[in-house]
Amino acid sequence: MKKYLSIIMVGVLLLLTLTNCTPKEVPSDDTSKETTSQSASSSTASQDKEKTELVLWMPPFGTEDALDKSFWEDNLSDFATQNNVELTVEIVPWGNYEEKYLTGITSGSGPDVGYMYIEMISDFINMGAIEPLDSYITQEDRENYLYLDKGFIQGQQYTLPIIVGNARILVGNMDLLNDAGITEVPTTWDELIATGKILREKTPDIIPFAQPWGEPAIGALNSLYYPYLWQAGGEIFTDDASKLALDSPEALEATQFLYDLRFKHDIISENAMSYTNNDVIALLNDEKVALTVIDCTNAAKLGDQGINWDFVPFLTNKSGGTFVAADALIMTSNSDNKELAAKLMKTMTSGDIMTKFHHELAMFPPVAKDEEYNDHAEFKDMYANNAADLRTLPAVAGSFKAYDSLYKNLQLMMMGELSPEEALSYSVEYSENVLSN
Amino acid sequence: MKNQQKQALYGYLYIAPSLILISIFSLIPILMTLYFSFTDYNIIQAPTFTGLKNYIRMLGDPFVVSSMKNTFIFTLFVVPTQTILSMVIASVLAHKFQNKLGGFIKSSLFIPVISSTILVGTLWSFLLATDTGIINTFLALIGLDKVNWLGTKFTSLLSVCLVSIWKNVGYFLVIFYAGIMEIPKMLYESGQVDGANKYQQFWYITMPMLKPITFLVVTLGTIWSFQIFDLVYVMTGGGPGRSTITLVMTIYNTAFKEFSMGYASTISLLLLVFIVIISSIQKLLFKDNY
Repeated sequence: MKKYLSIIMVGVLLLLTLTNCTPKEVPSDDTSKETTSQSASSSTASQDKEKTELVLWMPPFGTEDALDKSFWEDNLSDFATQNNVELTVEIVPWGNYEEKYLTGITSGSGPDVGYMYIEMISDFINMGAIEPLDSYITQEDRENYLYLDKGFIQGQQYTLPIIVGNARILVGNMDLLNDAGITEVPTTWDELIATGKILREKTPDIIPFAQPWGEPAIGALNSLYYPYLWQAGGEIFTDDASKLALDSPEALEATQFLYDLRFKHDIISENAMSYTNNDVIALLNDEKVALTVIDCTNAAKLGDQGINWDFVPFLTNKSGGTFVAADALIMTSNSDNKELAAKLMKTMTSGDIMTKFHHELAMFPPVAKDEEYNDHAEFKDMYANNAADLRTLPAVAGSFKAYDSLYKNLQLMMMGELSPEEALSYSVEYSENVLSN
Repeated sequence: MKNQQKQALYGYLYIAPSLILISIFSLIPILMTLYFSFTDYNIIQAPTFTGLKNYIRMLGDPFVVSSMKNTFIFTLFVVPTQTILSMVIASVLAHKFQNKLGGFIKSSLFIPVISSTILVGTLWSFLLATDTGIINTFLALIGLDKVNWLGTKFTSLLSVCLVSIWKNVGYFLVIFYAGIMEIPKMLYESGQVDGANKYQQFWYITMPMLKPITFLVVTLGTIWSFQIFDLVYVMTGGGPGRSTITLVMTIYNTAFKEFSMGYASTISLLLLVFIVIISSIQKLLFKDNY
């Protein structure tokens, strides 16, 4: 009897184990942060034959995810009604952003329309995950959109730029500068050095020029390095994108400039190696930093903190130059509703919705002619008059590892462990190996 | 014979559920990882066989070399420190503080264990901030210079090690405490009769009796140390430079930022080999007399 009981118990255990291996169906009306599977979408479509499902993934721009989600749901409700669409909006946090897309697309739970930044787009194009938009862009669209060229990659129109802005600018706390007898934010490399030295001498408790070398993400290079590279006349990648183009005299000049700010002129302190972007902004708000390079969005908030600030778009050496974000909407290749997805993308970037987006969520310059300028007034002239010097990153597949290596080597250089020449040569060599793989 | 075969069959049936689970969630993924390590694979497209290309690349990859070095240094510092610390504290609590205060201390030391690593890392990042952190504020108050805890090569890795020890010591303390409570008191009484002081009792009685538990603690500590990721990810992101990048972090970046699952699989196997070798050595070292 005991024997038979034991066998029955083992059998039940086995059965339970195998039963739990059955994949579960995700409820079709789930609009929480969990992704909905495409198979659930198609089962929903079969249940409700009239409505087509579209899934939209956007990052957060408002102060909380719920704000972004409700914004897009409210403003796209007309589109959904007119096109008989059941639109699911999911807000994807910036942390692990690429991972979310990779696993989502692979598992069939990815979006129809998503938001990507330039560093990740080429890799997904090469994986066949992004659909070209050429057949969906009309002549009227080409005349309306201002930055379609930024989405023209590998000979096709892969993206529809939705955010082009948030330039990295040189910001100065005018009260601190005035205390040291300085009346203007420096505009050239030499002026920055001279200003930094005066600040060191006259206001030793103030950080002359703060840089967030402790920021973990490679995006920190957008304010830490690329502006100076472009100002020296250099480029990030070679024309054929086979390696970093940092084995040039221009790149060495830019790198040496940063190295000298740290070790020769003592304008960047050792503590900068531990600063993140948030640390620098906090120090700026506490009026402990005289000069720093930050993005326009955070710069515009300084006035609210009672900071008397001014800015220049960029320093000038051989030329000007600073980073500007160019993020875009994409359509995934495995979208079942490409026509509607394209229509959704155009609706999102229409003048009406972009105006509301720039008023309610985040202020950026217009991406099309059918929208007025709705960014902060202080940056209007900068975007209008300096377009040629507002640079975006090149779309290069496999660039993450190259950027990562560059950033790590530059950090080692700023810690005094590598010379500028070594930092650049190691980065170029590594990029050659990685990009050839 | 027939009876023995029946017994064996029942044994296999009993372990079948666990065997199936281990096969599905451990063995098969390891075999798949082995296969993918010989391919160029980005998850979205089918893998392309590339032979030993990933292994050759790994040998000269400065990220892998740095992360291996950091992981070993981390393990060599953290495991002995947390083992000895937890053993000593457990011994003191077991012999001197078997009261409410001892219970409070044990509970307090266990709170970091059950706290989220992300939360712990974020909190300590604030505490260790160079200009605004409480630690440096305290140091300044007592007349010492501020330390750039997360901004130099040496102090950043040291900071991560110390936070990891702080987080884990409570867990191993509880294990050692339970083990110490199981040691027959007559051994200590005999030791006292023979004239052994408390340090000799600890060395000649407590430590040998705790050998199986020490083996468990060291093995667990080693495996966890080799798998360190989230604490480093939050506190330093692997920087500054490559000062704190670990093997698991390199695997994560390779898989999910570089989209090279094949190469990430290769590095994962390297990690597996290290853990197996070190666990085997530990088993040999702890083999005698238990």
